[in-house]
Amino acid sequence: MVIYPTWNIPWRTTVSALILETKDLAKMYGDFAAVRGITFSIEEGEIFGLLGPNGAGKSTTIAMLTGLFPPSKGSIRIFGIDPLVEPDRVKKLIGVVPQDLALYPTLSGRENLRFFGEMYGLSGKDLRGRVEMSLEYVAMTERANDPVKTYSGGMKRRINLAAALIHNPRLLFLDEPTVGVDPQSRNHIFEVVELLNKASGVSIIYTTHYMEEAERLCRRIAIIDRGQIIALDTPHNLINMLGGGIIHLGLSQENEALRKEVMEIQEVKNAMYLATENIDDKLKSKTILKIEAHHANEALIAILNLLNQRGEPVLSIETLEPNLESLFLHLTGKALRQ
Amino acid sequence: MKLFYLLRNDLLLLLRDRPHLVELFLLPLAFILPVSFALGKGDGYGVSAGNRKERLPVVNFDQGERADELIRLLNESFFIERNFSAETVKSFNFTDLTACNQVSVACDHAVVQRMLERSWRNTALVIPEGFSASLDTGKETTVTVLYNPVADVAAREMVSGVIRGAGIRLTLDQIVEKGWGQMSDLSSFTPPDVKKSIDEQTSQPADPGQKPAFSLKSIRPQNYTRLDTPDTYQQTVPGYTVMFVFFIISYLSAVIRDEKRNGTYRRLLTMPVKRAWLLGGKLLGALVIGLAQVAIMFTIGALVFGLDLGSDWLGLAMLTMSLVAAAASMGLATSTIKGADGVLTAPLIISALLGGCMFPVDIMPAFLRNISYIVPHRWALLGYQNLLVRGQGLWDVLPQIGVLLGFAAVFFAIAVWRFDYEEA
Repeated sequence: MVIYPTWNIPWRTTVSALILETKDLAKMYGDFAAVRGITFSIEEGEIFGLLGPNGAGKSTTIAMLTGLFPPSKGSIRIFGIDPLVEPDRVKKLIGVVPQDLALYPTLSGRENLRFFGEMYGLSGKDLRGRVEMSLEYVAMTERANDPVKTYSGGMKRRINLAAALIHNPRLLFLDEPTVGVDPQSRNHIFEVVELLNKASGVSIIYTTHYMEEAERLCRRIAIIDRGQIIALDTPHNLINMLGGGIIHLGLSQENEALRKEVMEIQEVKNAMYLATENIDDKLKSKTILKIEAHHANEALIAILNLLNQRGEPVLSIETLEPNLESLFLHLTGKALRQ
Repeated sequence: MKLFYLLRNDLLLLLRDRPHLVELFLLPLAFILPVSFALGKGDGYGVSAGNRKERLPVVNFDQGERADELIRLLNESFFIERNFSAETVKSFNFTDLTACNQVSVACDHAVVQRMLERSWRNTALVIPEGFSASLDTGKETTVTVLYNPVADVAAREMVSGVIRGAGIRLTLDQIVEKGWGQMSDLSSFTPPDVKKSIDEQTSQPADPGQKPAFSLKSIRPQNYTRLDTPDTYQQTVPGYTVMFVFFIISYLSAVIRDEKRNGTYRRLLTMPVKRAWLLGGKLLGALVIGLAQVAIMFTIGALVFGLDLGSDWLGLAMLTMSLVAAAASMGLATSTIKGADGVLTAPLIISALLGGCMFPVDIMPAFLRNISYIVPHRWALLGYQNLLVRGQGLWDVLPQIGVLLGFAAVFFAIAVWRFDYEEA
């Protein structure tokens, strides 16, 4: 196995081939920072997720990594190569499935794949073989000669994916590949991604704002918000950050003595009042006490007993299951799909 | 090789793009065929001097009765131009002629000389001061015909002949007038048939053998260029071909917009393809399409209407290449303006109209003729007509090729400068 030059990344736990590394990556549009100082790395054979809401900076990050435009700051290494210095070398090793469909609607699926294959330098028998193989991969051989404009949304997505596989890339970028896709095609895309990774060893960067996709596919996930990575780990470790769950209690006013008493309950890990800017509009009329629990159910019973004893009225109760969605809410105070 | 694949892909996309296919290849034919058939062979547009009443500018230094009589006689055969007003002079763009601050003979003289210098007129007549007095007293006098030496000699001779004829008519009138004055006392006794015979005699065309009342002096000015006018087919085929070659501007803008909207342009940027090739591929595609347009239209012109394509194929090829390069570069530059492709049809038609593609610039007012040079259509059409009509060659159409390549260079530079690779 080739070991590519790497930087010292703090969360690296094993020494293996890092095929992609970014350091302090940033993109500015005038005064607006779309991406601000992102640093992460990907190991060979890994499916790495970038999870975040729309506008978090995921697609801008992917665009910089795939050579669509240069970063304003920071550096990138892909297979040890600086894509700003040798863009063509890097582009031959990567495949990109853009967020929006990127196909010629009047050409057939096969014609699209043939043209994109030619752009990767393929020709002759090699090109024909790769076109057919890519079509088989996404189960589109039967409709391959029909114009793309006659395909369903899911079929277009599958050809969109096939176009990125045509040159047998070693690193595949999938930017929200399942947006607007029917469940059948979505499952098919998941299967292709898993097959590519397991059978062909293709490393994958997968951006999404669907936590289920990230949880199902990715070995590690970086949660990204407002152009920054706010958490990065395996899905299991990320969810564990929430402990046994989160409880949001709606109270009439802040009461510091009450908060301290809640903290003393054995099942409670932490308790704090949410800052106003982190509260949904519908909850702004009340004060929210956010409780991180070791075990949510036991903690909730104990807290309600305490509030009853003190005669403190409870305006609302919300318990958050420990998952990536609630982790994002926990970390940012807003929902993943806002 | 990738450039070839980009080109092939663009052509494949065009073959599936019926609206653009119709606009670029069928519309020009839809104009060329009916217009050519309708106007027929020859001077269908009436642009040739021989097909219209010849314009004859007159400078009248005399202002006497005989001069007026001569002008009246000439007016039967010519469209007489004189007493140029400030407005007319302005419309000719001769504002530098200080003699034309007011209507005057000096102004007429200056304007006429300028018109001849610019080859706008073939001939002009100058009537000297004292012309009427000399005729009345029987003294010898001379009028001057200024002529364009490179204009059609037969036409010039025709003008001279008519002026001589008018001179003879003037002489006869003078004789009859004198005789009639002497006979006026007896007129009441003249029998009607004799009187009718006299009237018929005086209204007869002048006898060429008769000596005119004045002699004719022709002056040949310097520095003239020959500008033969095109016939129907020489105007229609290249005219509409040039017009629709410039529709490549609209096609390219739309194609680049579609590439960006489809996301294919963004995808291509993630592939090992140089950015310059993406622009170059589009330019190459437009070049091939434009060359195909010219080849098809001119071939149909030659086969259906017998259009003579001249003998200088190199000149024709070079001019066509520069025309298509100009159109393609303008298309690339226009594609950098958001929303431009939806509003291009009107400017393209107006430019074609101004550039003489739909009817000859020779029948436009002078001020329009002057501003027609701001559109590349004018230069392309002038180049084609120099090759097809005036028998010129590559060397002669280098100015037109140069101007078109200038358009191409300027607009390509604008396209490269303004093209937003990150926009999608």
